[in-house]
Amino acid sequence: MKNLEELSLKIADEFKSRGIVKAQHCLSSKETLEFTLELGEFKLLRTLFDNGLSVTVYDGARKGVAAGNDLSWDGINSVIDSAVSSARASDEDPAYDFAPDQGEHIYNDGAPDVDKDKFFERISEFSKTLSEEYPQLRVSEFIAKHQSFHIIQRNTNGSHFDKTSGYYEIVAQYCATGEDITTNIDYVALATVDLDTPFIDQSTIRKELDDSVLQLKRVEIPGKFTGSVILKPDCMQSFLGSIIGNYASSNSVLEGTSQWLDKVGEKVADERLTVTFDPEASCMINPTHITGDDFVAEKYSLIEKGVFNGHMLNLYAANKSGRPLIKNDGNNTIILPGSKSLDDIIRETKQGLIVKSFAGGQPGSNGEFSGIVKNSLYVENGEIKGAVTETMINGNLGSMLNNIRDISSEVVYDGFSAVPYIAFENIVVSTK
Amino acid sequence: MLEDILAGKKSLFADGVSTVLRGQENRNRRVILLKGNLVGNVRSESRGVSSRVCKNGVYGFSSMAEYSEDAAEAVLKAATENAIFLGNHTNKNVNLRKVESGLFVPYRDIVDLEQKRFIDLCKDLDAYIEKTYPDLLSRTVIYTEDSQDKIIYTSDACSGHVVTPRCFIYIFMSTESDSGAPIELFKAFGGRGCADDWFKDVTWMYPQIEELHKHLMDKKSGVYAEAGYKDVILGGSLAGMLAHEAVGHTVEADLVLGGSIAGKVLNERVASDLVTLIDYANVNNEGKEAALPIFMDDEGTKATDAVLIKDGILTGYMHDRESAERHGVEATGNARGWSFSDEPLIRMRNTAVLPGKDTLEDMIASIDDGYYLCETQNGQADLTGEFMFGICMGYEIKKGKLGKAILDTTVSGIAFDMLKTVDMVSDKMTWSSSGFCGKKQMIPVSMGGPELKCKIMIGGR
Repeated sequence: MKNLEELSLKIADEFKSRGIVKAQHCLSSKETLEFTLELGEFKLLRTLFDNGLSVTVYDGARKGVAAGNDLSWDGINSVIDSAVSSARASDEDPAYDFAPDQGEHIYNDGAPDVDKDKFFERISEFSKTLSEEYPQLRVSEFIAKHQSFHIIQRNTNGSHFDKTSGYYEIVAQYCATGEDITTNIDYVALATVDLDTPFIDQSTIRKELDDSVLQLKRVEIPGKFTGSVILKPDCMQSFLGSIIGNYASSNSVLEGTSQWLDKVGEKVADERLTVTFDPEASCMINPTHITGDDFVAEKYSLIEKGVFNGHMLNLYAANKSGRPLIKNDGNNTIILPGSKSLDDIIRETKQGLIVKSFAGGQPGSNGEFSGIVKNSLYVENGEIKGAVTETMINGNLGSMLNNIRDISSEVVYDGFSAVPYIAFENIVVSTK
Repeated sequence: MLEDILAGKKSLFADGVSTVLRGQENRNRRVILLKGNLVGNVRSESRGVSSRVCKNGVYGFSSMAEYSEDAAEAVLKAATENAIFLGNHTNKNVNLRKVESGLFVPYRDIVDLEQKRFIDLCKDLDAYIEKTYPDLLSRTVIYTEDSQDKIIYTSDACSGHVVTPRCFIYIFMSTESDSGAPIELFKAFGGRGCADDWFKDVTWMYPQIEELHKHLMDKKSGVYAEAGYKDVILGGSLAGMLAHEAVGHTVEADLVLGGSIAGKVLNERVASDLVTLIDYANVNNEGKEAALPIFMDDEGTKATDAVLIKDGILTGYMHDRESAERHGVEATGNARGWSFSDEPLIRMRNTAVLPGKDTLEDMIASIDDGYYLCETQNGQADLTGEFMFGICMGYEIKKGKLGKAILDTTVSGIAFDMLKTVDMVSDKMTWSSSGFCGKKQMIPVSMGGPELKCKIMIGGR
């Protein structure tokens, strides 16, 4: 294993000896232990050792980036050479920059050391529980891994970051099978540092498995209607990513396609919606402490009680547009819960869907989306009737935010975010 | 190219197991110009060595981010230990399909150019677009290269050195619709080879850029598609996406094992008899080199074509050595990994619906009320055969003629139901190879098809 701190200091010296006065570098090492089971039987054990180096060099107002994973001294110099030549080939742009001196910060997150025996025990236990308690589920693949990371970042402004982290992650992929029925691919996933609690009892794993079994009861829905869609947290996060990409990202400002360009400080969503990115929240097992511009990340509320606080601009986009910089890259999402339970939200649904996954690609710049819902349940007059197939939803991201019916009091913690269930109205639902 | 330092390590392969030792480098070059601003300027290489050992159907795998003899020895040892450890916790007893042995040698190199060449290339194109199309809200030009260099030694299959250079230029254009909302289209240019193979002279791109602009202008006054079950003509790139998403994934043998619908309908009719669908290894339907030629996969299996549907009948799956043995058929060489640290999985290569005899004009004329769907930007599929893909360019068809352009929408269906509705197949083929497929790991794939007339579920207002 390479001593990253030693290498980092050597790289900093190399910059000085080459006359490079403005540069950033990031060194990383990663170890992975991963088990794969297929239909309940162990199939593959992987042990992986990876390194990384990325170097950003500024040549006056020019910038070039290079990366590699060969941490021999020749390999490192090769990456520096590439970054230098890329910078020299680049255009001059005074907007290229990175953060001023942030000082020294050391972070230790999660569980960097793997407890292989206990992990193996929990994996075997989870697989056994699935086969015994959920015989209807055909688990085609169950992947369980532990990753540990060591990352050192330095730049010529004096910043020095040192992060050690690690966590366990499981993903079980399956379909439910019944007489003449096979459901869509479904999954449960968990990121955790807790090996004391069986995986099945963590987060909403058991609830999701129960919902997957419900998929075996299929219903025909009445053609096309405009109704309610309750997005499960995972799906909500996916929609949030599209909302940020279309309305609040650096690119959307630079391209001029954001439809929220003139909406800073204005209401863009229901007043019950607050979306925050908080790297210091205690529920985050692998927080993103540092932004891509080498700022120490700060908590940021993108939408606060329905009001848009401003685009998530990195330093380049801020310098280019003259708009405020946000020291947050949009990780570690927290959406504040509401006051109504999920059960009550379902009970108050006249006609709609509970959606776990949405397959619709990236919505257009105008926010229009359409796609198929998967692993989703139909609700009518407050009752879950069964699972839907070949069903599409259509709507507009911006309009959706102003058509929130309810936000659940329950929040799902997946290790990287804390997100409730959210019910939206006026979504077009159609089927064959 | 990689220097061969692995040949001497074959002597370290353990007895009684199947071993693959792979050294690999992935090389990426990327330049992004957004409205003339250089927002991306990156060069990267990722290199390492891995080993996979199979004992009675369980696998041990290990990799290191170091291409050296010491690293090769270390991963061989670790992979063997992993296989033994796992073997002690399972009763699995599956052999790998016997395959021929042989040696593949690379027949071309990856030519690396200075970053300045890529930047200048993008700037020239950007300047051309800015000057020629001043009515755009935004334009983005991206040069991207993802090349792979692999050296593979196996204990009981082929060995060899395979080199796969690829490069593309993406052009994105956006404008405002008549109602003031932003709309966007893009096109990819390039394929197998290095920058100078495709982009030494870029004037060949101009007619296609002009067509892209025309479609964007049509889309300005676009209308929403009407949601429902409709007669449509799928453009060639869509037929390719269909071949990949709607059919291809369901007939990957590992997903068949996982419960894919295709597992129940082998040798049965799954499409109209106008439909034949093949996953090509290295030579396409016209006898030319495929867009993504695979000669040997990452298990050392010599790659052969996988005929998946013949005249509407499901005839086979795509296999790795283990699934081929389970099914009692020959391995097809579909096992590939993206980076040195990725284990090989069953992946598609050049998946295509074959052309027929109809003309596009006749196909349009045959539809009273439907759509001509021209371009897609993404797609997904499921074990049930349910698929979806995003449509970014299309037109209404009214009374046998093209009408207004439609705004972005999505189509979906159940593959083996939809394919039975195909009643016309055009005589022209469109191939696209800029796509990536995600299935635990990303991997480059190529897909192709003619225009297809069929019935499909379309999303809309």
